[in-house]
Amino acid sequence: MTDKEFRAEQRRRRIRNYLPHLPGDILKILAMVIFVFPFYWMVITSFKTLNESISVPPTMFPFTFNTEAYYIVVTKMNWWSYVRNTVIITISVIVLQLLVMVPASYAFAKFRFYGAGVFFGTVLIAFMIPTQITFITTYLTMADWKLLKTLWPQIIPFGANAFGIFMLRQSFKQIPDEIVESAKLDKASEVQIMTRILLPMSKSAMITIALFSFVGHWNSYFWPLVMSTSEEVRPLTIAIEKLKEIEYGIQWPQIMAGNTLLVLPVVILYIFASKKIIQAFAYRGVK
Amino acid sequence: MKKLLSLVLVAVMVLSVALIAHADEPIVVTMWHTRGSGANGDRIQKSIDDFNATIGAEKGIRVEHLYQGNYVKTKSAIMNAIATNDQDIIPEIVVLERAAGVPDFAIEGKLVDLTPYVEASGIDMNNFQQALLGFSYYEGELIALPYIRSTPVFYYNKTAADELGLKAPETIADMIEFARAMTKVENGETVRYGVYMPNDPAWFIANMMWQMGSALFNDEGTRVPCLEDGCLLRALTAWREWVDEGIMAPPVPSGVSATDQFCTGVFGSLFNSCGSMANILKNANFEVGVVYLPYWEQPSAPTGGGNIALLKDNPQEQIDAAWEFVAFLMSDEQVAQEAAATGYLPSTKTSTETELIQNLWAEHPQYRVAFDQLANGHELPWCAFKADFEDQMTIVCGELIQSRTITAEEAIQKLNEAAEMIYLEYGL
Repeated sequence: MTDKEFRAEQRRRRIRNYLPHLPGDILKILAMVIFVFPFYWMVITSFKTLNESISVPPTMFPFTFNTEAYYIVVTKMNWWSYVRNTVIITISVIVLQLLVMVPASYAFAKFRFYGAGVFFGTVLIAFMIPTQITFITTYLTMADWKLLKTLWPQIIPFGANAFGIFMLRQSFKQIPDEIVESAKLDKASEVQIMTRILLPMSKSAMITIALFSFVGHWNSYFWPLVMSTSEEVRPLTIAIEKLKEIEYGIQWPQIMAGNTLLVLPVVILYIFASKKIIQAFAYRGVK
Repeated sequence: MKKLLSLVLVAVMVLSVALIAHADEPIVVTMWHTRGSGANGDRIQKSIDDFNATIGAEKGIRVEHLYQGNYVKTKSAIMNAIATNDQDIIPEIVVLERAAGVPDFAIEGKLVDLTPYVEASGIDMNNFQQALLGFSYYEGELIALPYIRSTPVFYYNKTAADELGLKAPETIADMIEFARAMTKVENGETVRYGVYMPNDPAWFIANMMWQMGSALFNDEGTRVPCLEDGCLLRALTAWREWVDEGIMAPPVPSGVSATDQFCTGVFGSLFNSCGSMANILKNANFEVGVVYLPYWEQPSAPTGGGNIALLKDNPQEQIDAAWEFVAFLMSDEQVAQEAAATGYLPSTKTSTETELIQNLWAEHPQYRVAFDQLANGHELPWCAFKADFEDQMTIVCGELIQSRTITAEEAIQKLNEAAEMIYLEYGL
């Protein structure tokens, strides 16, 4: 066999080996297009003029890149105040949740105590109750505490993340008790066991919970709308909804510019944290 | 007695305003509304800025405002605020959908009677367009004033109509011929529908009932007469036929803007609110014609939009200060600016005599059509089950026109069943 024939044979073999993977790869590309296209559409619409954004047939790429929509959104809407509120709310919620979630999950995973089952059942029930059901009572409570003109009603009710407690408990449970016992023998305190042993070993779960929480609160619309009676405490999502003026006509480029700016941090975070999320779920799946 | 009361009230108001003027901090009143962005958002901001800089500065009043979403969300937010019983939270000024919002709060006794304020401020109620006052009075009290009010008109692509030698339709029969000629099919695909009517029974179907001499709700608000006299069947049958024939577009899914479809030439003509006029005239890449809504037997036009009201559960001093802003909004200058900027109806007669409106009408006669059509204006009666029955109509009309899974007769049967349930529920 000549060198040329050998290479041709190798190429044929590679193609033969790859062929069974082809349908799977086509499906993956298709799935990717389905997920990416709305984002693509959002971004290109944000750079179109209003007339181009509503033209039929739609254009797949702007004739001219028009940044006016971004300029209007950022300058005409007190944008940075909304950004500040969204950042404060999201970070505060995540920090508060971690402070509550880690000790609670540790207790549920590693301690035997009277009523543990009932308490954990309560957490699971909280996990299943939609927030929409609780908003009137929470609203009245917050009004009673004179907090509706502050950011607190958007933070306090989310201090305990039932989904997070459930998930982190499962993660802690997978860590052998012997590791916790040996740490205790070495006179490690409960806080040290949580922060130096359990948390580093549950990094993927922690990042996943924090990220889900981040996305949920960054994009939250209904709760902040109900729980705020002042423009000064409203987040970005409400600012973007304001752009949707039905009767006067929908300004698509502005809405899409607002949405692009809203989802950008989320997409960036996903890109950095995607590996950990897959790890967290894959780990859970194997077990 | 009434005059004496008015005088006492004026004295109280003058005294309170005098006290306000001497206070260091201005009285802050809050307005919750539905006006988000674009011309609507800009307009409310401008009105508030102008008031705060002039009358507000002079009398020690500052108006703040909060966009609360659409009419439904705003209504919910107001209900929540009232439930707190906290005067720091309850807004003084609210914008309510005239038929789906005002009655709820009026029946609960939450709206301030504006009669003494109107009398003290010298506002003539006869100066308001009478067709817009249907949801302003309750049990002899003036509980809301027309604010961002609209009426639907018939928009059409005048450039295309002229090319085809078509005249704007006056009657429904004319409209059918117009739509047939306007519909454009290329390679078996409709590239332009002759006409489009949204699935909004409270406006368009209710109006067709008046045009046929019937009514969606009787004057007492206790029955749906058009279900019994065959008029609703006639309208629904015709609507379905137009869609089946392909001359009328089926209702667009939520998120798709009918005005966009019209502006880009997908619809040759359109039933739509005059509140969209500024947007349509700006964005259509053809000449836009506007005429009265085509009629069956007699001309008629519904009205819609929001009224402005004051909430009772606030300190008297706050309510008095809030009225100052409402009175400011009702001035001819403000009403005219509002109409010119957005396309909403000028709600007072004298506002149409201002230079601004006269110039607007001279430059864009389309705006005048909506105003003149008010002569045929009709208002729904107060009806406790209005929202419930309209919800049912929207669902049933969706099945009839959008998914086309039922016939007009089946639609009537379903609506009859729904009406029976509603009568039982409301003890009618």
